[in-house]
Amino acid sequence: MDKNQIVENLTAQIKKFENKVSVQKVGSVFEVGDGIAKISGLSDVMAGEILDFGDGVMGVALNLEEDFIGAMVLGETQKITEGATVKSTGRILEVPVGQAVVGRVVNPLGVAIDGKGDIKADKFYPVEKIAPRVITRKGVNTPLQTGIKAIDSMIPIGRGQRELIIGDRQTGKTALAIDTIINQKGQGVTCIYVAIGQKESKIAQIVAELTQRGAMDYTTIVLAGASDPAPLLYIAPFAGCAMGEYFMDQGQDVLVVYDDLSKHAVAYREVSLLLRRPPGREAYPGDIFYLHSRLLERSARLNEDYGGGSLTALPIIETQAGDISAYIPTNVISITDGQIFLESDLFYQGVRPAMNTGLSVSRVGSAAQIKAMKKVAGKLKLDMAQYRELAAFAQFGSDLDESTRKQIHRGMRLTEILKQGQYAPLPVEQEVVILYTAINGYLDDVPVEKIKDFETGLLEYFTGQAQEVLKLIATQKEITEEIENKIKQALDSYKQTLDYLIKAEEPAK
Amino acid sequence: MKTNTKHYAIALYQALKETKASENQTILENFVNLLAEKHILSQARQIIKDFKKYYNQQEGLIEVTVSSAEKISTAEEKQIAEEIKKTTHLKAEITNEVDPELIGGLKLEFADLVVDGSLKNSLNNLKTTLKS
Repeated sequence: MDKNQIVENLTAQIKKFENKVSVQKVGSVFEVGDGIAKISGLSDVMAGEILDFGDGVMGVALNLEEDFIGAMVLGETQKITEGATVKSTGRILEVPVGQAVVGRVVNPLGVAIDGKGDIKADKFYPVEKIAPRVITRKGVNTPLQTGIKAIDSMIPIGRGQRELIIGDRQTGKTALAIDTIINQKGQGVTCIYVAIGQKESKIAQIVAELTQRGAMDYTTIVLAGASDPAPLLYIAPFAGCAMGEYFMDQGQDVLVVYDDLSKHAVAYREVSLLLRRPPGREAYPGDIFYLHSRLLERSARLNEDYGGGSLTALPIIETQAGDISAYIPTNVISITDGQIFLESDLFYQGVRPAMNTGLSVSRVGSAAQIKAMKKVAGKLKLDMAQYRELAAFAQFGSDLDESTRKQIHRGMRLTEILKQGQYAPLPVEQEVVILYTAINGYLDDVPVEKIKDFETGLLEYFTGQAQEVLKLIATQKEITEEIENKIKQALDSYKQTLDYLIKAEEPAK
Repeated sequence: MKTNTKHYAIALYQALKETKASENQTILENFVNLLAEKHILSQARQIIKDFKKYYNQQEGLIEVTVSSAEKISTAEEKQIAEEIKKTTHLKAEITNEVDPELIGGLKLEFADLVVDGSLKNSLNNLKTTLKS
């Protein structure tokens, strides 16, 4: 652009400029503090409308009373003084959506906080939106592979499902969610990770890990850190959900992780109490259930007439000392379509993911499993259930009868094979092969402490010499007789290369 | 229901309305005595505020603050009052504030509306248009 053009452009703009008299509704701040402002005036403000406090500080009108408006301030309250003017904007709280936010770290207002420049989105979605109606929905029928053997087989998650991850602190809840995000590479799923009240150092670590594994290309991180005011924590999951809804409306699949909703409930309790809403059980306000149910209802599987997109939600709840019957955990358990229950005891025993297979369920996901997985999962679930019954007797060792000993023997190997490291999600066909091996007795002559090595070798063998078997499972998605024979052959020839197998005469360990 | 400052304001207005203008002084004295008796003299300021609001509402008045760079003339004041009567059907009580920062034009504030027709506002608008 040369100089003349610039001048011409400006002249055109100046000519076009209409000098309008602005008419604006204003109110004045009556009281401010703790992230809450009491405002007089502003007679026809909407509930949930954005208010402009000046200096770039925004607020949201929450309580509309006879003489006053109770508003939460999104940002610093220090700059707001008593008597300051507040302008209404006529807009409901909204966030930027679309490709522009993918791969970015944003705050709950959609402002970039990763230092990679402003977000240039041309579309905005309201933060609070009514969930898709029943007419637009469809049953869950496509799997969302987490890449974790124990989950994909026993507690499968479908696209559009809401599966709760619940457990004490330090039991690997976030790790589970992050592994799932990493496993969505190349699956056409856009991921959104909403961090609510998390340490920012932890988020920096997660971003680094996701970037290194190429998962940031399809992931957005919505961060409301531990030092952010409660109102921002409160709107964070709704903002993340709105960003996901855009892609769902485009017919794409979305995964949203809310980490975690117990901190969200605490933030909402803080806002509510400051707004003088009456407290109820554990001082949570009366609409705490509605808070989470309206958020999680927004996950859906849309039918073809509405684009066929889906939004899967993985809410996380942190329990205190394994108490899943506390107020917030029971609420969210009853809203979601199942839960993955992680236990610290199992975690310290080295069972990672530390999933309690007895208390974990998935209420809709099994409809979404591929046939091959269904075939191996049925037997696996049964064997694991029997093992749980008998595990207590394991210490009696040789006093047990033959069939009990066999059950325990099998169960120990299954537990071992279901262990999986962090950042190591597996493709579904590899999971199927490993589980097939386990439930069909191929592990019975492998010593328990050698199972890890056996599995690594097995995967090496199948991705190397026997890769056509994996390809067949991946394309046909079921175990036909032909494929089954091929698996058996491959397994037999693999086992011949091993030297640590227990000989038949030796008593089994 | 608890008695609040608004109730006092309404009661005072009705008492003043029902009696002759000559008795206003005694009524006000009685009112202050009543406030003292009820130990709510500290809330007098709020009651005055509520009374003003209620009075204006009842009498069809509206307080208008006109800000301008220079003091406006009586004729202009009248014209503004007429314009306001046209839109709101209320009689305007105008207070003029001189604010040289506006450079030119007028800024009206009434009820919870701000009508900004000042030169300063126009320049600000021009600035944002050119920036985008």
